[in-house]
Amino acid sequence: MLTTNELTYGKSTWCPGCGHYAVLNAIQRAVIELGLKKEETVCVSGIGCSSKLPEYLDVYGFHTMHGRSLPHAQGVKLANPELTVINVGGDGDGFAIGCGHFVHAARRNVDITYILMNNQIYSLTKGQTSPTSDRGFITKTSPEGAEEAPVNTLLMALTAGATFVGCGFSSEVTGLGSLIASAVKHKGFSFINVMSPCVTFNKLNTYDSYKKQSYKFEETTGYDPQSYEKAIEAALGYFERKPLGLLFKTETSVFKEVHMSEHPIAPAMQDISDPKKHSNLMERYLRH
Amino acid sequence: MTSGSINIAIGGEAGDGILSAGEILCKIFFESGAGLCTYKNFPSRIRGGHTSYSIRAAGGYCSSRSCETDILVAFDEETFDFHNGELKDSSIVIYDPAKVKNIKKPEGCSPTYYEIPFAELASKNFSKHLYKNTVMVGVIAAILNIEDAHIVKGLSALIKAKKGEDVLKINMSACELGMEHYRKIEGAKRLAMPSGKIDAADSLMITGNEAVTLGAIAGGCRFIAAYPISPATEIFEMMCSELPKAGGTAMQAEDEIAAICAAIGAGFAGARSMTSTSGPGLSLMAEAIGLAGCAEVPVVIVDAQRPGPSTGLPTKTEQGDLYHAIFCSHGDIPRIVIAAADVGECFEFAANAFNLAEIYQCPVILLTEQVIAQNKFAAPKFDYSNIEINRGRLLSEAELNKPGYKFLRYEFASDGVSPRAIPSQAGGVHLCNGNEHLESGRITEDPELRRKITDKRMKKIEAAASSKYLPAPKFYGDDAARYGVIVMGSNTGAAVEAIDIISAKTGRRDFKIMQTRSLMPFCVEAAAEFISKREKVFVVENNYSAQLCGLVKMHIPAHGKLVSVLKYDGMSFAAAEIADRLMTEVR
Ligand SMILES: Cc1ncc(C[n+]2csc(CCOP(=O)(O)OP(=O)(O)O)c2C)c(N)n1
Ligand code: SF4
Repeated sequence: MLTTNELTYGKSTWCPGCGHYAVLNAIQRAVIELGLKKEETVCVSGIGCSSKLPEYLDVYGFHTMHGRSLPHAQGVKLANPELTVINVGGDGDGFAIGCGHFVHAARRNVDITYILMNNQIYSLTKGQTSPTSDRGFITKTSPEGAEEAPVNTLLMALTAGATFVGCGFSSEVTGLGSLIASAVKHKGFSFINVMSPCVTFNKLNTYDSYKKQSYKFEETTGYDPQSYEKAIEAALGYFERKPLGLLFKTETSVFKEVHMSEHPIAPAMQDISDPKKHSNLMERYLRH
Repeated sequence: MTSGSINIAIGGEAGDGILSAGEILCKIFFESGAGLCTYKNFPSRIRGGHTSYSIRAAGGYCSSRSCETDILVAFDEETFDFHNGELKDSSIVIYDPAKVKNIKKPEGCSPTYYEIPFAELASKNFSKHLYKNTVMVGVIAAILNIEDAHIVKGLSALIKAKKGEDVLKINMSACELGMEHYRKIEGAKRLAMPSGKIDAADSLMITGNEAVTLGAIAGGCRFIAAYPISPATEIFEMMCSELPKAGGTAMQAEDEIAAICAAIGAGFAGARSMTSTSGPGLSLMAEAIGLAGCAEVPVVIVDAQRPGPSTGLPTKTEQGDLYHAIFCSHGDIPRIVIAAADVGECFEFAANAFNLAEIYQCPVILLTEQVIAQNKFAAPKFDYSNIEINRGRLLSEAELNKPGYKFLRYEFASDGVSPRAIPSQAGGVHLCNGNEHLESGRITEDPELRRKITDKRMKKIEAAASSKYLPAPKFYGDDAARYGVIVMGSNTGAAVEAIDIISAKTGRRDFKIMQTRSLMPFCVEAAAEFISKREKVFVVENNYSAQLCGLVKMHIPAHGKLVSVLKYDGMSFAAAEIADRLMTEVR
């Protein structure tokens, strides 16, 4: 079995107290819990403080470009469905520049896990307003307070068709670790919104404020993660009260599932050494 | 070389069934052993607007349109506006009086006109005017004296498979009706098919998009992600149905950024992977092309060019994406750009693009153009035995785990080509990175290492320049020629014919052609030598800004000798047009 140490690469450059440490740790816990091998696990990210996570995780990784990690992650998974693909990134990365890809990743339902490290601010670029910033939040680019309505990531995930939707918090590493493990185990697109405070640039949304706002969704009466309605209701209340844990899970057809069952050898693993095998495709263009 | 040709143009409203009639004629000509190419001119909408389908049937393989028309079929009056300039004294014009009330005659020549009520004949005899196109096919077959056997084969090849025996029978009778009708016209003119023949048993008839698809699958492509766009869509459509049968996967992306990013993800994961697009899509892909260059991920991008800027002319042709293909994306990245001239090169270059991408671990852009992508050409059968699969420095798990070996994904190799491992391989775990990185792949900002890794990446281009998979320039004409012509892509065929036209007229072989097949890396030495031996060199290309000429100038200080011959009206060059322009230039 792997250890957290073996899954760690180098020394991170995150600020002391940054919420992102806990996400790294929780992913490592999930990898260990699931007994995954390093070489079968791929962590893909975009650009941001949060997207540096694969730099510190010792599995296959791909640190791509700002906002585009999800298409890359889907490409990796479709090329080799045997791999476990975990996609990480920040709220600017995933819900500003990359928001379009999020909606389509959710409805496409490729079997990958997307962990949003939501600190409600742009941190790597040193403190501008983000699409998840609270209304009125004062930043360098919103000196009068943010005017736009924040994106409700959980609600968007549910309405776009994500088949696994959960919410975690950097203060609750154990819970987050097992939530990530079940997301990875889930067949289909799984999404976890993690409240991951930026201690340097966001003085409004802090460990304390998140703690006060959050509650364990599993402990609510009549908890039923199969219920879409209940999940929607909880997601609707996200800005006031943050539901921790699994909100919703359903099984529907996974993208290319039928194809994969007919072709057990992954595209990336196909034997391509004999081009002549495909010369029959030329026949339809020959003389009658 | 072609020995004469017969050119047919059919014009009418979009939705008139002109395209399918054109396809039937192509099939009949192909069965009869003619070399051929088509030239479709259609508007970017589904119904309405003038459409024309031109077919050039030649005595050998040909790859460029003609600017003369021997038989013009007019289903509407607009046809005359579009094609009168192509007519000559020997031309035959047939028109349907149902839609053509006024005949606009050309100036300076007097073709022969025949009124043939295609629609009326069809609806009288077969209760559907739909068969008017097949009646028309019969008329053309009668004009050209085409053997019945070829007509039957051509018709059945297209109709039987799609619509069944009954529909085929009606079409046969409709075709016969057309033939009889024409034969009954007293003194009706006949034209002869070109005397030469291609070896039809060893030929195929195919579009550039289809050829690219065949080449990609043969070349080991097993993943495509794309977003529909004219004139590249057919590649993706065909991949969607054929790739799964070869064990691959296709994904329709939400946009071109997602398309290339998914392709890059798949390339990182070890599948030979591609995306297909046109100019607007290539513009969106710019940042990701930089990522593939920096992170050294193999990926193939096929750009079927259409005239820009912006949406431009989606169904017309141009060579205006050259600069973008060579320079797009910020920073310095290794990349390879190649341009195919015909369907044969579409096949061969598509297959080899994947070798180049994997060997040099970089993005490879294959440029085609609408005129090759969407038109049909008769060409020699593709040679599958010529295709090699070379995966470069992709290591096996055994190699990765050799005792004492330490795998470094971006190792400072002497030729810049580092060893590569893919996820699932034990011993190859690494970070693939679009941030500047160390040999291990982990992020760095160290100035010395930054310089070294940039050198390493860019060195790969030098290595690629001498690769046997990189298409070397091709030359046509005599080495003693005073003048040079530099072309890329589809203009090659037209230019080769143009110098024949010129020598037929002048009795001198004054021009030699250089076809630049790889634009990045550019064939600098060959081009420098070519230019040095000539008095003047004409760079013939389809864009406003003389991009190929600019590229030559960037590499070779012989600017005084270079003269641009440009065309950017959305149409491809015809051989006679190039010949005229060149003769005017040297007069
Ligand atoms: C195309 C592009 N635009 C802008 C940037 C600059 N940029 C880098 S990270 C970032 C936002 C980071 O915020 P977030 O994704 O929320 O991550 P965090 O740093 O907060 O963890 C921006 C705007 C970029 N790298 N690329
Ligand atoms: S700036 Fe904020 S998000 Fe970035 S490392 Fe520091 S605390 Fe974390």
